[in-house]
Amino acid sequence: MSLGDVASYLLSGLASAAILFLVAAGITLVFGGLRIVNVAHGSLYMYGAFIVASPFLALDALGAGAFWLKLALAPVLVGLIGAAVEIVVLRRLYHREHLAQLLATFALFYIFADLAQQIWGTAYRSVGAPAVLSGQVALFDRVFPVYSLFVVAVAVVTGLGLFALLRFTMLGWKVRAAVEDPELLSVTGTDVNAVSTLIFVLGAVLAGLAGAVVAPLQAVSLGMDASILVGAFIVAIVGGLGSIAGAALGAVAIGIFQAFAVVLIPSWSSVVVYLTMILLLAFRPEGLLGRAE
Amino acid sequence: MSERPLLSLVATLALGAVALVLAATLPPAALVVLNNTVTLALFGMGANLLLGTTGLLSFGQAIFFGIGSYLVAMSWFHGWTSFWVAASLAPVAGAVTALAVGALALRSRRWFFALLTLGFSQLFFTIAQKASSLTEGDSGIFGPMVPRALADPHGGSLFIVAVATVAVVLLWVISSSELGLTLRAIRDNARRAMGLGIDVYRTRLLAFVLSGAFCALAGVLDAVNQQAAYPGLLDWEHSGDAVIVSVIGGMSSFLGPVLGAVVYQIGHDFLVRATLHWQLALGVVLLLTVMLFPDGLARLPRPGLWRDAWRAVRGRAGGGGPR
Amino acid sequence: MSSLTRALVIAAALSAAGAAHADTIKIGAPLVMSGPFGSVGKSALEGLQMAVDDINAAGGLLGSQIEVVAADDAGKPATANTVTKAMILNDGVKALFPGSNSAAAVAVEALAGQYEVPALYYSAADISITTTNFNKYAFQLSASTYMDPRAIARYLAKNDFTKVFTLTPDYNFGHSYVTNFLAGMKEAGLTPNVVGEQYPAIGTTDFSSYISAIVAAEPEFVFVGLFGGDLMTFIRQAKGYGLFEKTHVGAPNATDVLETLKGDAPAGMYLWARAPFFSMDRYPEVQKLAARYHDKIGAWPPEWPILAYTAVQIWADAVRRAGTFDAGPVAEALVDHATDTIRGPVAIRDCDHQADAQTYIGRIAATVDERYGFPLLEDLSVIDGGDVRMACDEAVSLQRK
Repeated sequence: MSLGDVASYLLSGLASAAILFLVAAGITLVFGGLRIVNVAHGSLYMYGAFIVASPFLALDALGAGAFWLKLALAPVLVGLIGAAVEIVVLRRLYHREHLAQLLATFALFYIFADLAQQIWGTAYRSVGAPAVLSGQVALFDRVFPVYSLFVVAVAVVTGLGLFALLRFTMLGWKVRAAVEDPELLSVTGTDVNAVSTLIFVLGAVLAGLAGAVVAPLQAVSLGMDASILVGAFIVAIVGGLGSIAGAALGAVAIGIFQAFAVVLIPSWSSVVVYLTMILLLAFRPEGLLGRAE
Repeated sequence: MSERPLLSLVATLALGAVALVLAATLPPAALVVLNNTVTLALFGMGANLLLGTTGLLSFGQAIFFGIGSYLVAMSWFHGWTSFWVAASLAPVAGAVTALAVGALALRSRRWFFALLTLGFSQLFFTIAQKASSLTEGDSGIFGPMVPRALADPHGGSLFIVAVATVAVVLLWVISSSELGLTLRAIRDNARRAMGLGIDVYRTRLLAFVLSGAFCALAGVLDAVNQQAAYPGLLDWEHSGDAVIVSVIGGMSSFLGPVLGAVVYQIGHDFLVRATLHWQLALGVVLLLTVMLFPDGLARLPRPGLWRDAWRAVRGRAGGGGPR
Repeated sequence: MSSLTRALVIAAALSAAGAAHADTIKIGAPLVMSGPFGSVGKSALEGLQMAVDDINAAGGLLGSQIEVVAADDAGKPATANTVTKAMILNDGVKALFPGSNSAAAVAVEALAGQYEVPALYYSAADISITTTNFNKYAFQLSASTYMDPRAIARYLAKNDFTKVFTLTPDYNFGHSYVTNFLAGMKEAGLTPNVVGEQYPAIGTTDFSSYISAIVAAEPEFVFVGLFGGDLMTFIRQAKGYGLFEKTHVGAPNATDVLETLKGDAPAGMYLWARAPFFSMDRYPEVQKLAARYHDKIGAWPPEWPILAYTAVQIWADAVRRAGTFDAGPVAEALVDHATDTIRGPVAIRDCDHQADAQTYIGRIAATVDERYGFPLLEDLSVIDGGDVRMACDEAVSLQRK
């Protein structure tokens, strides 16, 4: 394996890791903040992808700018869907046991899947990246798509932004306080309900962004919701449910591992990933950076 | 099932008798629906031993279901042994696998257990896909894998109903026994149960093993019905089906999963032919059940139900928050 | 009128009315209409429906009108099993026209044999359909995984490629495709040097590692067996890694690739297909069908509607010659007879029910054709199925007794 090969696999691994991180970050945030396992997270991801991959109003008339507009619009729209979900459904289930919330998101998974079929039909969609991102970059006598670098950049910026938001802003402090001690937080006059909605919306925005960014990379079709879900959950678990930094670490580990495994142990790479998840959950359920219960 | 256990037994036998009559008299096209419903009901009952009785949400019961189906299919395809031997061994195989999976999985709690079982489900699904020399991979195994008598529509249906009824009676025996009481005690308050000297881990593991056996049996019945085995039988979405029927029908009622299976299967088969949007209907029913009727449809005819449902929709007045 | 005569008259009237109501014959179509390959089934259904409409407009078949019963099997064997059984038992279909993948095909074939309903395949192509899973009611109208790769190997022989990398999906179809391509290369006088063999799972969304592996291996030809959404994803991603500048790549599903990617389709890439209408100028009926499809749907047809239309034509012709809809006589009439179809004469041989289907191969042109909005195939070759079929002895020896 030459240096070019290694660099090649590393970069592919990072590009996959970028998407995994964006999706897993949303999952881990919602779990950490609300203790909800959101099965419908994959649906939100799929919606983000469809919004970018489909003709939207008359935006396509704008030509090249259409992609950027849709890229910005998708997370916003998906965030709104997330807000609706939290307010209409989840908020009414907070006093119930956690199973009820999980089942509710499971029900929403089915509902969203069907609505997606009604809105976008069953055919797959293929959309290209805008010209400025379609080029190639040469490294180590190899060629890499610029778009992959773009995806990594988006993930890095988002991750840092998220970290900063939670660590250094008043809003972030409230989110973390809502996790630690909601009663105390409500005594300070903060509307805890609003904070819960915000957390969920943030998770939804991340999912929508991930979907939007991934749209030019693959055929966008129904079934994307289920296929991303297991992988993203594994990443979130490995990193530690509730930890954004953990999600990043888990994403990089799994992304790079899979990139190399595909060529070294092709048939059994997915088996190794599942085994890792199982062993981790059985012996260190808090994952790499999560807090022990 | 704390109230009136005897009523559940009588209801089980009555349902079984009705189903036997249907199995003998319905036309072949309708028999497929009956078979699907009964198989799903048994699958749900097997999973509910964990969910409703022990309070453990597992997204992995499809593993054992798949093992049941595949054992029958592979025995035929590779010529290992007769159907009857394979069918008898299936629950044992399910139980043994459940012992291995459960020993590991039960080390963790709550959502981690659920996610862990989900991981296992996907693991077994992947193995079924990859071990194609054994399982024929993604193509699955299709063909006349059951004896003539069972391949005949009525013969097969009678067999499925009879075996399922006996299995549910067995489940009733377990549920109304001391083991059942212990499991419900663990479900209600595991810490207190431990304080009472109950070995929670071991008892849960026993429930997991038993559930595995019953789910594997459901898999055998499915093989008789569909004459097929394929990797999709083992994935988490199929595991989810058992959870869905238990929830819709009512986890805490003994026959809840049976009701849930009837509603789900008939609704699905009817809806699939009438419209393509059965997923929407399923999702809505599940959502409404979770939000408004937490005890499932089995507890529907109950005074004060609608008042409680309205309260559930409003959520606890004002506060509450994420915890 | 005596009461007996009255009774007879009434009976005659009733049976005539009954016969009039029994005038609709149904044919079943388990199709993949959702998921990444949903376009296969949906477009095939259009072709089936057009064929049925044409038959009905011309007075029906043996005096009966034909109706299509279609159901989505999602490309999954289990669903195919359920919906096909329902079609057979509930709707009493007289023939099956499965339009799905090879995994679902196995399930349908078992049912066709069990319930004795002729099944005419035109999309699923795995060799097992005519060998290990064969029964007398299954018919293969398209080039199988034995034939296609051999056709391509013949076409490539003039280029003297030896270093080969294969990328095919991880199920029966994918493995069979590779085995037969390598065998085909040897038969064409080439000595393949396999520098890599990868089997990504169906529905893989990230091919970047596979692409890196291919680039690293420096092959002269990349034999790709992906199709549908997976193929589009692969091509888009491969373009990003400059794969098409570094080596030659070939894939099936020419129509999907050209019509979906349009100007983005990589020039010079090798593509093959079973019925690309734009390369079939010598069949005016095909052009008419394409125009009709374009008028109705607003897009140019992939190969599936043409193949599906042909399948119905072949079945209808056999029914006419047999004089009945019954499975046995129809199955007999289907073999060893060259039926005139919109894509020329098609004959199904007896030993394994494999038709002499053609394979069209060419390379993507550099410029977009104005009529259609996508580039066409140049350096076109049409390989006749009769030349690349498995020998009858071999096929029969593989069939289960």
